[in-house]
Amino acid sequence: MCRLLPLIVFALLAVALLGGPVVAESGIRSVQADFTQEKQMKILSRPLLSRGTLVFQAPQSLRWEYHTPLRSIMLLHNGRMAKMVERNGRFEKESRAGVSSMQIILEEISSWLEGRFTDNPMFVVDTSRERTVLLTPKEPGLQAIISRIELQRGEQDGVIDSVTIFEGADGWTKLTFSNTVLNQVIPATVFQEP
Amino acid sequence: MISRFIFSLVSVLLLSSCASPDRQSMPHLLAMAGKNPRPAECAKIFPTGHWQLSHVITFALAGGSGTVVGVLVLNGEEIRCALVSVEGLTLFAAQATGSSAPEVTRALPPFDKPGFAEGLMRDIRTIFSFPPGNAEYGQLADGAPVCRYSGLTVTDVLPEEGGCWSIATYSGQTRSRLIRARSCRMIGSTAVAEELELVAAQPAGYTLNMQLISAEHLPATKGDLP
Repeated sequence: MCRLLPLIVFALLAVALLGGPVVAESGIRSVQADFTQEKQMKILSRPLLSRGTLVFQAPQSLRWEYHTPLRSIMLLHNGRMAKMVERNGRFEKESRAGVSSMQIILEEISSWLEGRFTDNPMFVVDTSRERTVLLTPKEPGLQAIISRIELQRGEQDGVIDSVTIFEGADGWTKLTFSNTVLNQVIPATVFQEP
Repeated sequence: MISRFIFSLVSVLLLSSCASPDRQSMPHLLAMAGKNPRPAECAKIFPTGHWQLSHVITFALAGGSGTVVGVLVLNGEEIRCALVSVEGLTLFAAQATGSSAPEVTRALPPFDKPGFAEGLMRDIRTIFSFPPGNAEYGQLADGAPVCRYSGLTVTDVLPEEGGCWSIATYSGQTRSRLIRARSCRMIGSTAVAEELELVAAQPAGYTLNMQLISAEHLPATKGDLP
């Protein structure tokens, strides 16, 4: 299970990314969007809110950045991953993820971006509903942590409005995307460590 | 990455719960004629009623550092807490009432290790719950006013000018924990710290830093104590 945790986190990011503004539409070259993350748990009287931005450049460059409440950046670029957290006004690098986990997720991202939802080794994918894609974990270990993920498609083709990650009866995390911009040129410096 | 971080965090919290990591001895409590701190000055640092607090928790060890979001709901004697990754994954959730054993509702490995929930609750009570035991009031040798609560352990609450405070706990005569509050502000009748730092200096010394994200004094519910 411990080995699974990095995978889960990156899976969530991958799902959010994929599901984020981009869905399984070929021809997507880049994505930029803002997101709001709402975390609700049974114990909470009020949800926890986080805000940030994401930038994706095909084939495999990602900048997933939280602005509040804690500034942190996760970068995937040129096959390497890094995570930085702001402390005392400067970014500090956190421990690196295992290469194998990252490669698996990058494969997931590539697969989904190419529209191959059904090829996903981690999730059973249900696309039978018009505007909702439902992902259910295959592995029991993952099921114990995430019961299901729902992607809500937006009005615009190739765009998803929100991703909700259910942890069971006691909590969920909803990512809502806005200000989505597709296929603009993104400078390579965006994917470099600050 | 996350698993290494979690392992380190668990190590930190377990260390904090099972040893006396600071070698400082408990100072003598001296009489302070006419200027003893009033009990209310010490009591105001402990929230009463129904609260929801969230913090960014950062730890630093010789071997690395990590960050998690801590969520705490206080409702009378009831404590509900959770640790959540920055990305939103619930890593641990538990609740307890009074001094009872915590009921764990979610614990991803290695947060399911024996003793973890108890140690975490003990830390939360130290920071946020009024200490049990007999109260004495006086000053330390340097003149700092202190409220001392003596029970199974000894807790010194040191109110400071400017509205902040420190807490030192002692197991036997040895200091086990030192908590410093910074940038405090009043919310109702409670002094809430924007930053809390827990310092321990055992051989594997560590620092736990808590930056306040939000503190809300919520409306009373049926579960609230009068």
